[in-house]
This record gives sequence, C-alpha cells and structure tokens, in this order.
Amino acid sequence: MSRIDDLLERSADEVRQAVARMPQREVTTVAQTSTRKTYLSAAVAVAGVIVVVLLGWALFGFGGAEEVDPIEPTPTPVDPDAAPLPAAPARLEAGTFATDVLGPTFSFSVDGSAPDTWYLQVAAPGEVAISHPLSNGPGDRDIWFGYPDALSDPENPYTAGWPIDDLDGWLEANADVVLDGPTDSIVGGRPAVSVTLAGARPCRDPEGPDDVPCPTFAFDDDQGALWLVEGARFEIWWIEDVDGSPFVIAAGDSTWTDEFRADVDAVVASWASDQSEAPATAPDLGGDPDLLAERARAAAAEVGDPDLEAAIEDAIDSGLLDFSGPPDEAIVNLLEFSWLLDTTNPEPEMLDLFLAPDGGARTSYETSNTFGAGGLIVVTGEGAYEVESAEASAVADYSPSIAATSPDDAVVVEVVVSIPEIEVRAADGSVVRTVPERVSQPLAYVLVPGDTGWLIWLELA
Amino acid sequence: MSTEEGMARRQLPLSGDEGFVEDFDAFYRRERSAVVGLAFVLSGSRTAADDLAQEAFVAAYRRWDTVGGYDDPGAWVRKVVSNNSISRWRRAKSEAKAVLLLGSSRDHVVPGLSAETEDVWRAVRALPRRQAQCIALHYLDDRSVDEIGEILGCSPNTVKTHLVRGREALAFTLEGGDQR
Repeated sequence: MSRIDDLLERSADEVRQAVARMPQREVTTVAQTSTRKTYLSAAVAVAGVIVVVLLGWALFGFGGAEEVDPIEPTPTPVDPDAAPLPAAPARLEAGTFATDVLGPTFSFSVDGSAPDTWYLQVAAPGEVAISHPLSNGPGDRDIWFGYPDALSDPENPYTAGWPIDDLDGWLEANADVVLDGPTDSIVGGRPAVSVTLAGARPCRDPEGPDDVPCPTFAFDDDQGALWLVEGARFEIWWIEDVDGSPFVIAAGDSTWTDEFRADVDAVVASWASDQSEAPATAPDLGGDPDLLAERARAAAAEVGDPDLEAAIEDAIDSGLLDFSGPPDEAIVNLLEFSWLLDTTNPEPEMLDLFLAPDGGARTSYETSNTFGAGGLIVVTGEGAYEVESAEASAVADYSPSIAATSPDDAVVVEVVVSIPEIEVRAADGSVVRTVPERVSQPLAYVLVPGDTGWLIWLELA
Repeated sequence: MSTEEGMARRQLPLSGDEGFVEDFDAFYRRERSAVVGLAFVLSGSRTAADDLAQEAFVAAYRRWDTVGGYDDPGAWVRKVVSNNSISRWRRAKSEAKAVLLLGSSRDHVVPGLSAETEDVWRAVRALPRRQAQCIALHYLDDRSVDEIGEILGCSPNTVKTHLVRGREALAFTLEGGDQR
C-alpha cells in the first residue's frame, strides 16, 4: 500500500470513529416530518421573502446603480513584486500574490500568519478561490475570482439565458435575491458595481430529488452556476471590461461575520489586474461544415486516390469530419500533432490551430486516456509540461510522413506517434514518474487550406 | 436498477404503515453515521454534514416507497449527499436547510480529529469535484470502483482515473509529490 493510501485509510478511520461519537439527531423527528409542515414552512418563508423584498424596495429601490461622484478610473497594474500564486491547495502567508491562470495577470493581497492564514482552494483555468482563515471548508467564507460567461435565465435558473452585459436588467428581473445595491464603485482602478445577493427561499439541487429550483446568478462554462440557496449571501464586485469581459469577485456564501467582511474588503481593495496585451482573437477556421466537406472531397479528388476518397465519404457520413473549432474551445491532442513542431510542410501557420489559446501560448489535452495515469499535459512550442504538479521532459520522436500532396496544397499526412518516454518531473527537477513508451495506431489526416492558413483537418483513421 | 424494477421486486407497505416507518428507521440508523461522515469530509463542516445527511435522508423518506426498493438505498442517499456537498461555484449547501424543524448545533468541528486528518480531508475537498467524491466514497465508505460508478453515474474506468489522479494530487499536496 502506498503512503498516500495509508494516510487516507488512517484519516478515514479517524473520521469514522469521530462521527460515530457525535450525537445523533432523532430519527423519529425525521420520520414524522410531514408534507403539511413543509408547506407551512415554505409559506412562512415566502411571506418573509415578500416582506424583505418590499423593505428592500422601499429602502434601496432596484432601478439601477446608485450615483456616486464621478471618478476617472485608471486601472491599477499588478504589483511587480507580487509572488506567484502557489499551486492549490496551499496556505497563503501574508503577502501579495499574482496569477495569470484566468487570463491577464491579476493580483490580490492577504493578511494573516500561520495557522490563521487564507487558504488557496483552487487556482485553475476558470476559477481562483480562497477561503478565510475562519472558513470551515468550501462554501464557508470564500472569495471567488473569475470571468463568468453569462447570467442565469430568470425564468429557468439552471440555464444561462441572460446576456452578460446586462447586469442591471438581470438585477431588476431578480429583485427577490438583491439584498443591497447595486452601487457604483471602483475596484483595481476600474469601473465596478457592487451588489449583495442573498438566497431567501428553500430550494434544492437539480441533481437531487425534490427539485425546487434555486435562484442562480452567473454561469461559467467550466464551473457551473453560482447558487443562491436559502441562507447564502454573496457580496459581488462586478468589474467591467477586464480583458473585454466582466471580472467577478464573489465573497461570502454560507457565513457572514464582521471580521470576514472587513478582511474581504481588504482583499478586494488590493485587487489589481494588468491590461490584456491584445484581445485574443480566434483565427477564422471556416465555420461551414458543408464547405469543409466540399474542400475535403476536392482535396481527395486532387490526390486521385479512390481509397482516400471513399474514406473521406465515410468520414463525412459518420460525422468524423469536423472543424477543430475555435482554438479556445478546441481540445486537440497536441501530442499527436506535435510533428507540426518539426515539419516545415505544411506551413508553420498551422501551429496557430493548436497553439492559439492565450495568444498562441498554450493549449492542452487530457492525456489520461492515452497514458493511463496522467495529468494535464500542456505542449507549447518550447516543450511539454504537466500543469499543476510536475514538469515533463520535451516530447520526443514523432514519425510523420507526408503521404500525398495535392496540386492545390492539400496534404494527406499519415502519422505514427511514437513517444519513447516522458519523464514527469517535480518542480525541483526530480523525476516523479516515467510514462512508458507509447506508439499510436497509424493516423491519417487531410489538411485543407483555409482562409487564414492550414486550419482545417480531417481525421480519417 | 430502474425505479420500476425496484418497485416490482418488493411489495412495499403504504406510507404511514408501521412497517414502513420501521423499515426506514432501521435504514437510517444503519446508514446515518457513514453518510454523515461522507458529508463531513466533502463539506468540511460538522453542521453542514448533519444538514446534508438529514436532507438526503428526508428526501429518501419522502420517496421511500421507491428508494426503499432499490438494491442499495444507501447508494442513493450517498449520491444525493455527494451531489449536494461540493461545488466549484460555492453552492452554500451548508446553509441549505432541510425543511426539518430541528435544532442544530452551530459547531463546525468534529471533535477528535488530528491536524493531519483535517489537512488530508481539506486537501481532498480542494480536488476537482469528482475526484474528491471518488476518494471519499472509496476510502471513507469502502465503496468499490463499480459501486462508486453506480453512485456517481459514471463508468468504473472513469472512477479509476479519478482515484488515480486524486491520489497523485494528494501525494503532491501532502507529501511533496512522491506517492510511493
């Protein structure tokens, strides 16, 4: 048994024993809970919500942001001395931390010293979340940083159906969850709106039984929705136009205390973000499946191989023909395309297809299915590395061969990927593990010129 | 197993029948501790764990004529707890009170846990959701890969992958990367 196995087993035993010693709630109380009582409770809760909403309306109104003195915002740049945010999870000793995991680098500062430190829960593409020193776990006194993709549909709260650029409209349409605000503010030298949202009625997880929809706020493609279940309270800072999108800081959730509020304010006040170098624009990949099919057929015809033409028709019929998609949405096994790094034919622009995310700096692929136990391997023009935990040696030895070239530059490529070994290394350079040799099945691709380069491919194998 | 199969396999007493209540009562008493433990390691809060477990058991009770007929009604309750325990977007389940009119302690801490154990489960909670669920179900609840797949609605191979990755991430976090 490995040490981590042993550690988990021991920790599990300890939890089992500790929980067994905890006093139990009376099961008879559970069994005697009646539906009637449920409805009565819900009615009382609804009445309470109505009172709160009416009070909120009378006191604050929900017609839009409150006016403040005009301030000319000047974005605050990231402190150049900020320390890189460590890999999560980790304790955050007092200091200023910066990360570019969400896009443009942003930074924030925290106070506290061990053991009373903020705790970095996650720092990954999609979200960064830290917990207050007094937090008891996820959902309890957290601060979340991220770029939501959309606001929730008020009529169907589990779907993203409200435009991201209409926060005011969304707040008006969801007045029952607005506890305070919206208030114009400045965060990181940028225009922002702060608003307090609170869940005020019982609701349930849609994945669970007895679904009673919960209000939700904003959606992130990767992470889901921010929920406003009964008792939850979020202080939201909606920072406009950071890298062309709203950047959101959401603090709170299940527990609010004055100490937490003061510490949150300090973190938010310290937030800063660099300007994006340039808006990331996805290259035009064509976008027309019919056109792609047409071009693929034409390319195969030009090659003049009946077997290839038949294979292309089969691929089209079976749906294998597809665009790689905009690079920021595409998931491509770069390890199988890395021959592009070594070939001069086709054109180097093809790299854009695979290296375009983050301005051409990065793309990634889940390698677990091909390498067994593995992580997220990132391949760049400079080599490969495994994110979050280790660094791998540069990917070695691919065996591509150009099978045919059409008169109009369409290329049929047969590829056998042979990776003798990948050494996954820890930050200190020590070898964590070695991925054994992997030789792929022969793969064949037709590469067809797109409007901006070699941007369309067809997998035949 | 489908709901229909479960119901056909077993003649269930009507709700309110003495046997029905005893049936659920026995189920609750047998499973409660394990389910609270699972909820605790996934939520990190004793109070939240009590609430999450209670909520799941109430849900099971309400549809006991169906859930009670399953081969493993405990798996159904664990599925509810797992789904409600962890969110990447801070779902605040710890405060999603069940409709029970029960008093509850506001203590978040489970007494008797060592600092090492607290760190271990905190690191587990920081894992991606599915990895954390798989780790908790496997180690705390002694569930097999197949059973975890049933509970979480994914294939055994996916569960294996989550377990391997979870262990690797925990090894890196807790032991500096060496899981041997």
